[in-house]
Amino acid sequence: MVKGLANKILRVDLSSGRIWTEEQNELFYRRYLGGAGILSYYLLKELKPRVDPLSSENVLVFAPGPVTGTVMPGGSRLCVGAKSPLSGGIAKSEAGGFFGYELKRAGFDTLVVQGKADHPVYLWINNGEVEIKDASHLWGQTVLQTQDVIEAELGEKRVRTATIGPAGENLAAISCIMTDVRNAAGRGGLGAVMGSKNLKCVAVKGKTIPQAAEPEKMRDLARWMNTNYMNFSIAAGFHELGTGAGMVSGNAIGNLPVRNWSDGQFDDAAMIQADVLRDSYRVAMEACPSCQIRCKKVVELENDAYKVNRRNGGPEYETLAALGSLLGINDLAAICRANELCSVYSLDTISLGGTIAFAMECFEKGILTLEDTGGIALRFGNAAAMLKVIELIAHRQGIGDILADGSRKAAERIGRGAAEFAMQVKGVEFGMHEPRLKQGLGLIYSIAAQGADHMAGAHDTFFMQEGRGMEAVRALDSLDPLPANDLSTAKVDRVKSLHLSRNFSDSLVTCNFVPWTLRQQVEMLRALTGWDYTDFEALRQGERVATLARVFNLREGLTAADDQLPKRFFSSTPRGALKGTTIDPEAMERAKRTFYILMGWDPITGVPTREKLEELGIAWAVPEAVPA
Amino acid sequence: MRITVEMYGPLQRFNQGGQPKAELDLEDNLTVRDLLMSLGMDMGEPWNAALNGTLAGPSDVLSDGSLLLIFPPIEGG
Repeated sequence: MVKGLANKILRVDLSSGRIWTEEQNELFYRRYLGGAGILSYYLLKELKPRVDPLSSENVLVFAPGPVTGTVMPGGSRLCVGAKSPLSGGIAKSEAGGFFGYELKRAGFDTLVVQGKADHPVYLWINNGEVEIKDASHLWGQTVLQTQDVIEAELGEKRVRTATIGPAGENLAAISCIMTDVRNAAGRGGLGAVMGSKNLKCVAVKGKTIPQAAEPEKMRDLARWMNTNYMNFSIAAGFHELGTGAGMVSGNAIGNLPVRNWSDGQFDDAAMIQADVLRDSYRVAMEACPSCQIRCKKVVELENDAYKVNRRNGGPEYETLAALGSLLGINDLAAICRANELCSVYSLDTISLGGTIAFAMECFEKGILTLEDTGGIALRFGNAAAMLKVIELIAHRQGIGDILADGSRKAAERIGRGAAEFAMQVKGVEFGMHEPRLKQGLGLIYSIAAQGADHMAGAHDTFFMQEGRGMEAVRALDSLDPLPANDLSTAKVDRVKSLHLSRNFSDSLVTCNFVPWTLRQQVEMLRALTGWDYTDFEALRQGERVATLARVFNLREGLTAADDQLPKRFFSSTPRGALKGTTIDPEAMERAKRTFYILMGWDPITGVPTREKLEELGIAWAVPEAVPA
Repeated sequence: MRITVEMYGPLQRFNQGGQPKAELDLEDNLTVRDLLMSLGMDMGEPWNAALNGTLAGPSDVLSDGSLLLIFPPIEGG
């Protein structure tokens, strides 16, 4: 039994209706921890190779971490994963809100769902008791409607949920899972996986508080962060404005993606900035459990061109960019309404924005016509068109049926040279940070197993000059300030170390917006479990997650050729701060090979060596690493 | 020389008493670092700069008519 954990993994087979718990020994938890670690383990161990991600053979894992459910600020998140219908490799995505916290307090470290129900169902997990309940009456309902109906029929005032809307039910590969109505496990098409299992919702209530080995130390750490977070300007900024403060400043240095990454300047960035949102539509800021930073925007629109219900959340930075500048749209009210549609239908705002941007560019270039779009003038800047096409995507109607599976698959179906405009890696559309500016981020965008994930590691602009920000990388033995466009071995080493550090955070699961140091994260794990856990183990854990995910992808047929940025990033934007700046393709290719070498992977194929797998204690993965 | 300084987010508190935007008359050939130190900014704070529409650093030299933006590094989110 490990202190601070539930020491139970909940298993549900929706095909047979069987529900059981699994217990793992202490060394299992020491090796895989939770979150991304446990998720990677179950996906590689239990999925047969090359299954259809939308078949009953996929496995959907909801993985809180050791820190989830404790008093820690930012200790409420979970990692969700499966085989991705977008990439065919691993989908791994984190979400906030209360769901992960409650699942841990209901008595489970992890929930593993396999099979497929023969009719729509939802899971009700109530303080350790688990039922599969009929959800036929919920199928077709929005996420918000589902929340209200479930609470009413269970007679519970506050049930925490992971839910899909119509987009997930319709197996849109860009659909997501919404936790507590307005938070998203966004990336990788997890909503479609849940929909393919006829699983509408996981509802949970729990009250068992994790018992730490050293509860006083846990409380001291939590108290320290809640007292000091405002001294970190990044966290203070999140407290005041949420994310979304980076529109004007990002535009000024070329970070803001514009019109499907074809342009480098968005003249209307000030119209979709977070302070404008605060002054016009924002009605509150909300928090995840135990967190004082309180970064979640709540917006309400009444008596405007669009109506938005405050219960459906508000747009964060990624959404302001993905459904704003990326589409050439400056209408903040329309972006709020689009964000609401994504919440109620369960669509990933990032992949949705990337896919609509792709479609807009195709339309502007005549590859898509009014006949293809059913009469919608799908041009950059057309907010009304954006909102119409979101409805079509969620319901797989007209052009929406083509776009629902993301830009890569849409390009395959459209043909006519459309593939050039699908901005994705491994089928996953980019997070809203320009790789021509942040070239280390560009490297991890190309290599990360889950695709072009902006949270997978380094944002180079934090580490360009002296300041307290450098401490985070100095703790990883990456000592020197480096330019944002540097791709030397020193930068690759930094990118690798930050990626491992992120994977460790995603195993605990802590929030990246709470400014914990690596040392503090290790201290909280020691205080929770009583283990003599070290910084060394933490980075090993990060390496283990990266390697397990890599092996999974290799087994599923992805190769080094999939670690590739789109050609557009090897050309300059015509305007803006980065005019004249490109990524040098040879430098990026060298950086990629260097990353493989530093990870102990073959420098050409990127296959982890047998010795590396054995070093990480995952020798059982050795046969999996050999491509078929 | 006369320059315009815009500061964003929590860094705004260093801009002439907390203004989002200020016009400053300064001696010539100051660097970005010189300016920020003269404003009393805590140079340990993580910050990025845009000078006349491109990414800039502490050693970049200001000139008459420059527009300087100072803001926390962005990782959203």
